[in-house]
Amino acid sequence: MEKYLQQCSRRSGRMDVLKKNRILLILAITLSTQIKANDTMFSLKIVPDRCIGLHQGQVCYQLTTLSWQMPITSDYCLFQEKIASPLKCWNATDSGVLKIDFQSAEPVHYHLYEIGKKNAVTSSTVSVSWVYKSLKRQRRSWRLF
Amino acid sequence: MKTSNYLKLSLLALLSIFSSAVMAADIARDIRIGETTPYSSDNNFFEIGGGVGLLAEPVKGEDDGFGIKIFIAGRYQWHGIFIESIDASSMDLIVGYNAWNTQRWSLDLIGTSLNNEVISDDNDELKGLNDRDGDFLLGARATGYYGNYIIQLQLLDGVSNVHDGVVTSIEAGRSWQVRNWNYHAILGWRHHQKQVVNYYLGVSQEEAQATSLPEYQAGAGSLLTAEIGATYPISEHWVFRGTASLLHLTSNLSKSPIIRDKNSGSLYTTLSYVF
Repeated sequence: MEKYLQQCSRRSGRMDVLKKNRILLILAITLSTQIKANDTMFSLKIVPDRCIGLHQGQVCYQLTTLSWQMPITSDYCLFQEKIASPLKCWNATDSGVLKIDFQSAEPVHYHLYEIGKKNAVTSSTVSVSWVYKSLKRQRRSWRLF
Repeated sequence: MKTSNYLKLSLLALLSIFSSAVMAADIARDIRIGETTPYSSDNNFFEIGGGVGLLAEPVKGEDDGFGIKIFIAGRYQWHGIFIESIDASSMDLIVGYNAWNTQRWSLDLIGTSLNNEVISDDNDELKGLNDRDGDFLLGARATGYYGNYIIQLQLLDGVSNVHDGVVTSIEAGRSWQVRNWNYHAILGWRHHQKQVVNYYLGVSQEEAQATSLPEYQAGAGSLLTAEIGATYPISEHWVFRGTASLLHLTSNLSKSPIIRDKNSGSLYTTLSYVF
């Protein structure tokens, strides 16, 4: 009997552990889903987000689409780094799309601001790479063995 | 269909002296990709590619028309010593030493072969001619970079006891970038001393008797080249290129009985993978 009870207790203990594990798993999935949901709610997507040029240092050109999604309806402005004026502003909305003619020889960061707020609510980058890499040579040199 | 002269080491695809491609190695590559400064030692690259095109050969008996080519191109430099092979260059392989650089100019000491071995039995119209050996030349190459313009000068001397002649050349090119397309144009002039032209294009009395060709003693001669083209980066590793090139032989070359036409050319599109 004692053995039986002990076994039941052990089983019950295992059941508790299993239940706890299940609960934790469900919580984890729920949290993960919420995080993902939040990620998609606070998103600035750039397609394509990589520009390929032929030779390093050349300006790379690409037609690019920036689309953003926010959880709250508000007034938002999209900025390109180092440029004071916004690329575009939207009023009373929670999403927007902008097509740009990307032209740069280096990566460019884009930031979405909610009007009246100091910090960007989300940011994203277009990277630039080239087929033929190149490093500059020193100014003048005699090469001696 | 014919395989390209890139793969043939014999055959009168002949005298790569008359390859319808642009002459120099460096300038061809640099202009096509829009390079504006001399090489640095870190500009090593390696690529393989293939292409299809139309060819008009200057040499008698050579097939004209549709052509396929497969090529390997690359450059590796270590402490100034380099080895390079450029697609559509008249020099298959160059070994050299990068001796002097300024911001605009680069001076290389180079060794290369301009002319492959020629086995005339591969060519029905030229059967009976003696085979010609491939040559090896040593010399200097100076390349200047002025914005989108590149100029290249070469002085090469035969050292392999094949012809012992001197070959000099000058080429100038310009590149234009229009969005991600790189357009280019190259003009070149190359002069061969009498020994070089005579070795490859002369017909001796003995050869004249063995063939239906007249005897021919050649003098020094020049050729002019021109190339235009466009290059586009499809992805970080794939590059598309289209080129059209023309070759004009001056009289001492074009009068040779081995030569069919003083003007020839090619039209190629290639796709290459850059590692």
